[in-house]
Amino acid sequence: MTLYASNMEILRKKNEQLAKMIDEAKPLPTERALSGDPIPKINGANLISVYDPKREGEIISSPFKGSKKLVIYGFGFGYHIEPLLGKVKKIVVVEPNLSLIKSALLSRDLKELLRNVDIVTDIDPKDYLSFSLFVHSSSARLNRSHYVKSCGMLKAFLKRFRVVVVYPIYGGSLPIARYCKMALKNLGNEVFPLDFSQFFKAFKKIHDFFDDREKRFRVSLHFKNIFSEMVVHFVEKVRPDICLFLAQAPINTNCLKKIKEMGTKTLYWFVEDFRVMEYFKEIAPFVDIFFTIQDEEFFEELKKIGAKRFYYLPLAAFPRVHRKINLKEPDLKRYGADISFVGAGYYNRRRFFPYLLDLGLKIWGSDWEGAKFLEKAVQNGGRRVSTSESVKIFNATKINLNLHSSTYHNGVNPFGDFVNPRTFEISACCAFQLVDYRKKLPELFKIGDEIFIYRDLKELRELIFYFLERDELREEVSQKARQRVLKEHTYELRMAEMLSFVLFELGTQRKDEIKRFLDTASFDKELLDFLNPYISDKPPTLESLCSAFESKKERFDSKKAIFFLLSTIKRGFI
Amino acid sequence: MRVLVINLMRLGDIVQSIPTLYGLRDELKAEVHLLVSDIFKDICQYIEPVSKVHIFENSKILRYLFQDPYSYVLAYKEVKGFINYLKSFRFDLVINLTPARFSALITYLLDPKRYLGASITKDGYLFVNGSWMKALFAAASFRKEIPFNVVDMFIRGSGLNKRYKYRLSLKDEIREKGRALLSSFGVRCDDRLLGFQVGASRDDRIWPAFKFAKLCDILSSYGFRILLFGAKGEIPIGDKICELARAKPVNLVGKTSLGELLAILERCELLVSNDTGTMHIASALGKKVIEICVGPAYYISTGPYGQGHLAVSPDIPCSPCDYFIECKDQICKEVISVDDISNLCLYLLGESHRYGKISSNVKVKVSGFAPDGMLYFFPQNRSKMDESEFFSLLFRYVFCRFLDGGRDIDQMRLSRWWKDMERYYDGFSLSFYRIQQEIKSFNNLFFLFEEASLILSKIEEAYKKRAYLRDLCKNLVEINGMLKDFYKESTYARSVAKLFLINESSLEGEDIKRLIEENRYIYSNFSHLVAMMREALTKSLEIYHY
Repeated sequence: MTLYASNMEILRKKNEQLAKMIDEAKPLPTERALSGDPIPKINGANLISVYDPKREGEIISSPFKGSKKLVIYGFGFGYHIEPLLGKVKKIVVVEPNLSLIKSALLSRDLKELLRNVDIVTDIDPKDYLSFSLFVHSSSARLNRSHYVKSCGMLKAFLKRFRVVVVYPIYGGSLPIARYCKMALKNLGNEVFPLDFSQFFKAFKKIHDFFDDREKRFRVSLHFKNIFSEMVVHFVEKVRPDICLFLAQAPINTNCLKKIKEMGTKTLYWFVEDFRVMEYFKEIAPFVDIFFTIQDEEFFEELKKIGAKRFYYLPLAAFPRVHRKINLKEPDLKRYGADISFVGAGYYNRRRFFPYLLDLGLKIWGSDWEGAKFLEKAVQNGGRRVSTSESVKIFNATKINLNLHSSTYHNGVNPFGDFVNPRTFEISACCAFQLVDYRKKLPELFKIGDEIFIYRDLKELRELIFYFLERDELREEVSQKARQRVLKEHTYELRMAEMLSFVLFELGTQRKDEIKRFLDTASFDKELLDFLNPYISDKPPTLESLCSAFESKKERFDSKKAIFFLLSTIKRGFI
Repeated sequence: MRVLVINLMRLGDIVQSIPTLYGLRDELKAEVHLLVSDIFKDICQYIEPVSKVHIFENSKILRYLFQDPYSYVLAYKEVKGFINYLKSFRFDLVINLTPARFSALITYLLDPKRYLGASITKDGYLFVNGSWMKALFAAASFRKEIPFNVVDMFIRGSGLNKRYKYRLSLKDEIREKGRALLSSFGVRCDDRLLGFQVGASRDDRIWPAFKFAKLCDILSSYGFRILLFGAKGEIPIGDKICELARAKPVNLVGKTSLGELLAILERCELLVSNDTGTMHIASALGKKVIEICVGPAYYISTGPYGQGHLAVSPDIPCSPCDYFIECKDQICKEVISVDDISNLCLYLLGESHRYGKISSNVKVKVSGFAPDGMLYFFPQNRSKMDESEFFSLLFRYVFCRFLDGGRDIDQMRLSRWWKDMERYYDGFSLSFYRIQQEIKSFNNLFFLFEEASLILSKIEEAYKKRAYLRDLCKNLVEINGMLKDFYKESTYARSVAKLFLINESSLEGEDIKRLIEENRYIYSNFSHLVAMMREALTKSLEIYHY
């Protein structure tokens, strides 16, 4: 029996489906390391040591020998897993690349390994919170996006950060900022919100005092600078690991630099359409990581302006707020309707909705002044709708309309890509919705199963007629959409993904720093041993080292004396 | 015997340590090594008794420290290598003249057989060895209460007790360089030269440029060539003086090397200076100095060493001010007039037999050696000894005896001390009532210290038995509270209370037993000091039949 056949025999017994998938995969080319062991070659890059992969596996796995339950990200060629067999009770290996596993099974005897570990292509991080995590770094780098959404998130769940969340003064990103704050807190982080919405009234009064557009712009700039200084002061006080800005949060580049100098990582979630809001150009190059709700074209734009790290992070729902509720009669009467729309009176909506008035459309929200034909449909005098009210409306309506805003189109924007928060919120409420087609929607929901879409008025009217008559089908679709949101599209998961990416990106940066630091200190073996306990996820600075000495109150010795001496010199005492 | 002297502070401090270095070489017959910071290494070649100079590469270390957040390990390598190099000399004694934590860390790292001055204990806390060294440490905060010149404190702190040579040694080639530089400015060999050191390390120590300009005009009219000295950073002051003065001085500010400065200073008949390193260099070259003391400059502690220098200071209540005060209205700079300084210059230069009229709120003191062999600044003209002068001299006498290990007052010696003072003072101008009040205050202070000392011995006992500690500690805290409130009681006794509190609060460590012991030692030491102070006061009154 060949190596492959004997390996596959074991795997088939354990996980038939996986064995089948591996069997269908195309193997990667392999070569020999200097030690003679087989190693894979992926796009010309080396995943494991080309000298002695067994020795490398032994070294990198040694810190995990004491673990009871372990998730290993990256199969490699199994060299880093084998030393742990028999030493760790339960091992789960996450490897998305089936071709890699196949070539390992073709070239190595892995029967013992296959008998003792579970191999999966993906995990739900929430199911593995009691496991330790061992990341095979080169595998994580190779499958960056997969790692960030799987084991990276597990790491983010397990790690605790101090986070400042900077709110905007007003606007659509304000509630998102609040959800982010709550989500980060629910993940166990220490969160310090800086809520600028408390200054909204003052800002508006001063803003409205000037009737000249240029003066208003100047005043806004002054406000922005003052608020930016407030952010710096707040960060100075709190000393967080991370400062997260939501779109429209007031910050200037100068203050961003100051915050970065303090060692705090700056993240910005730009929950806006980059084609409409261009202020991202002043921010993206100056923050550590820029998160977006659009990719492709936007990423090209970001590269052009010199942004180094950016990441696509779609919007979500907050299930504790956006939930199914049993409405009482008065609320049902007030908010109930066959078709409702909640949102502001953008141009495309004003042009589109008059054709739905015959179906009894109710419109909730502000900025509908002057929409002649829609006057009767606009509810509550066109006042702003609170979050709790919108949840009631979603719940009380048979068909919730969702039309992404546009300032040019007469109805559906055929080129629209990002998905608005309303899509997730309606679904989280277990309410039924018809949404206009968006390029990113199929990645987020199963079209025609979890969600139904329209591309024009004709399609919409047909769908409305179809679904109005089918209460059970609506219920079934809504349930599926809700399950999908709870599983994949909550703010908790988004924040975990965000932190996972932060850990991955900045972790790689820190690993480089640690390597550089160790190289610099390599002249003295004794010094390396001495400094080793002080290296966590980054090397210690002189200041952090001295404060660690002071807090630990251990025996004073000549090494500590030299570091204290250097600290006094640095502070200018000589 | 091989001795390492650590002196990592300023240029002036290095110059002021010269007598100590001579003393170590000539009296202890030691091979003297000197450790200085790289920026001041140049002065060391003119200090004769030093066998070897070791340079602490501060600038290089700073470069490493600021290169990037982790390059401090390279600085570590540098320091470790340097310490190992120093250790290879196997010093028998390390004398740390720099009263600071960083020099204490260096002393600790050298792990010497014996040391004087500050080092670090095994558990990481600062410890100062030697009573005079302790006083040197305290003098930074208690300049008025510890009225000794730094030069003398260096000598005594190093275990020496005589007066030693205070001289910088110049070679002819350096003199030649100075001559060449002067001639390039048109200065002739027979010109009578006067130097002005126009800047200082701090702005609040600088006498105004327009006054230097006027002084230049006056003294030039007597035929003197005025030379302006200063560092590169003081070039604007030199330029301003040149701009304002009608008689054009030779502006050497920022233009001399250290060697040239020394050679040119040696040619000057007199230096008028703010409180600077140049002033100490001039005095170490045997030149007469007039020190203008403005801001925190205090001639008693850091005035020019040697006989016959003049210290001019404002006679105003805030002078000298604290180092950390940011004064918005430096009246001290206004008080000392150009005429005051020009009169004193002409007197010292022999152009007049007596110095003319001095402003009423200006004090002029002349340096000389007191009967204890140490430098003091006495009034230029015999005048009545006022209260502050009386207490300054009394503190000086008692402290000197106390720091030398004495625990009582010898009436004969005290009488001689006051008798000697009659040369400088024309009797006393004291209030009997005020002195009585101070005696009372010292009495109260004595009882507080005695009581605390007693409580501490009980604490020591109770600590062994693990009993009654809380009540005893409460009583001790009460006494400390009373000591803190002592400022309401008196003018002079309170400074001793303050000195005590500083001494006590500088006690560091985690070993409770040791802390109790050391605390008790400090209390009992201070009760001795206060008893001596009280006795000296009473006896002084008896001597003068008050």
